[in-house]
Amino acid sequence: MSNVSEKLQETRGFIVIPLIIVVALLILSSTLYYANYYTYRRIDNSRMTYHQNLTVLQQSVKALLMSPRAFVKSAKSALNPNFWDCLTNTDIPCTKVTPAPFTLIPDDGDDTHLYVDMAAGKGFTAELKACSGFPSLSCPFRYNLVWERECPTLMPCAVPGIVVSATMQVSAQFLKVLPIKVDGYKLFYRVR
Amino acid sequence: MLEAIIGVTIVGIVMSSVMTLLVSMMNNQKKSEVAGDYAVARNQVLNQIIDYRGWANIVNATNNSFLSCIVNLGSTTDDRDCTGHTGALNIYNLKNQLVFNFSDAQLGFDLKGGLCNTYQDPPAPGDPRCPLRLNLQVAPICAGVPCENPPLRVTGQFIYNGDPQMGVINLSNMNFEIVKSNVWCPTQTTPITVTNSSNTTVAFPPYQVTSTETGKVTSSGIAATQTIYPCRFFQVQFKDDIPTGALGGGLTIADAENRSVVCLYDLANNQCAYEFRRYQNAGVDTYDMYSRGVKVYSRPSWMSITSLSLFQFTVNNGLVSFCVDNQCVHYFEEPLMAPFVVRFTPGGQDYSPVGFNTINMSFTDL
Repeated sequence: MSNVSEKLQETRGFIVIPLIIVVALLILSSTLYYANYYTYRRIDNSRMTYHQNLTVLQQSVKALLMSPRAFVKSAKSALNPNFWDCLTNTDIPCTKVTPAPFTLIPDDGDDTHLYVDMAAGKGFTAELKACSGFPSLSCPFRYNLVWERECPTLMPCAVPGIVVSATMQVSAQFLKVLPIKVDGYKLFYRVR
Repeated sequence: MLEAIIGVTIVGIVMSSVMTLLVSMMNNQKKSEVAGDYAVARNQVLNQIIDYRGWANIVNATNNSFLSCIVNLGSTTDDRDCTGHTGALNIYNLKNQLVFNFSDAQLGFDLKGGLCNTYQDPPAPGDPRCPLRLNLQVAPICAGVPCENPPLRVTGQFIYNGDPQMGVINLSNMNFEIVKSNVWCPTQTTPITVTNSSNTTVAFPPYQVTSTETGKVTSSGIAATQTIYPCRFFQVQFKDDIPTGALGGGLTIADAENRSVVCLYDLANNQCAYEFRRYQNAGVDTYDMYSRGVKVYSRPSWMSITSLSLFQFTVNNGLVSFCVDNQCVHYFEEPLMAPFVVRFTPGGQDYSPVGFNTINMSFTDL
């Protein structure tokens, strides 16, 4: 009996230590909870910002397609072969084509400035700056613009309707960090 | 005694760690809150810019006077020239209320993303209650002069100048650039009518333009529409009566009585900008297309035209194309940016008794 009492006497001060550890763990876990909460909020804000950026990209592309100078400049560019010639030249008949990439060039006096560059690996950063290396984390977005002719069933296909359409692509690396849906950024523009 | 020392040491270590973590967390929390609130502010501004409905008010506002070149579609080329027209953009909403007065150098956003007017540009110490500024600028996208009805590049750049204890807040990922076009188009008088100006008779509906001139003539008269603005989708379609048999062949395009012309007449430069010239070439019914007096296209060999063929000019926000029986056969390289009229010059009465007929014009907003 006296042996048990002595043991209790020896461990009395150390009862506080587990208590302190429990309290510390509680504080730490609540701190981590709040840290996670703000991380989540930051991600939520990022998602909103990226969605808005993609809306900006979609609307800018549409605005340039609707601008006749940018449209003609793009249509005549060697980067969009077979697009323009048959629209203006009697000797070159238009034919139905398989959808082809459409590079969009603003008419701003700088021929090297491509607004949407359809070369392989070209894309946009999360802040919508032009980048190379798509698909990757640092170059996560690509706006795939394609054009095609709407030819009648019976030939000849004189200058028909021209359709430029676009779909947004996101790199898998970016989606792991920030899952976002981009189906809503499709674009369909018919030139009459 | 030993247990007390160990206890105090553990409490000290734990408290110190927690305090460091809390301070860091609160700082991050504050930054996160600021970034979040500013994302909301960015959202509000961008939503106004994206919404096309408010742009008529934006370009017409007196404190956006540098955009008057966009509005002056009915004036001279100089008035329409937007070359060098850049400036701070003030945002008006659909109800024509000034929502963001970015001309005010002290307009900023507070820590909740609300508007305030005590912002200070660095290097002056910033006001912590009004630490964020958005510089919103607009510039035309142009390659040359005149720069008429250009797309606009709107850029937004955020600057933070607030509480220095907050440290560096990276706002570069919030900067934006957006392109806008077709932000303004004057009201189109409707219906579009055709009026004779010389040596023609105009009947309607549908419109028909015939020449009053008989025999061999140098001019068979003109009829024209009222002013039309190119910033919509506009289409004029017509049939053109030149009975092949009546001519007997032998005439060329040089013979005025043998020619019928429809032109989109550029009022700013007083010339036919886009022209359809139809004529009999040694008995063959044909046509050529001209752009500012230069022949750019001829009837394709596979196409036959008659008095029943339906010809169409379309102007799609300045992009001009020409179609026959709904098959568009030519796009013009140079867009039409100026107000124009459609001018009809029918063949002489002896050669084209029915003249231009079944004339129909329509337009739709883009």
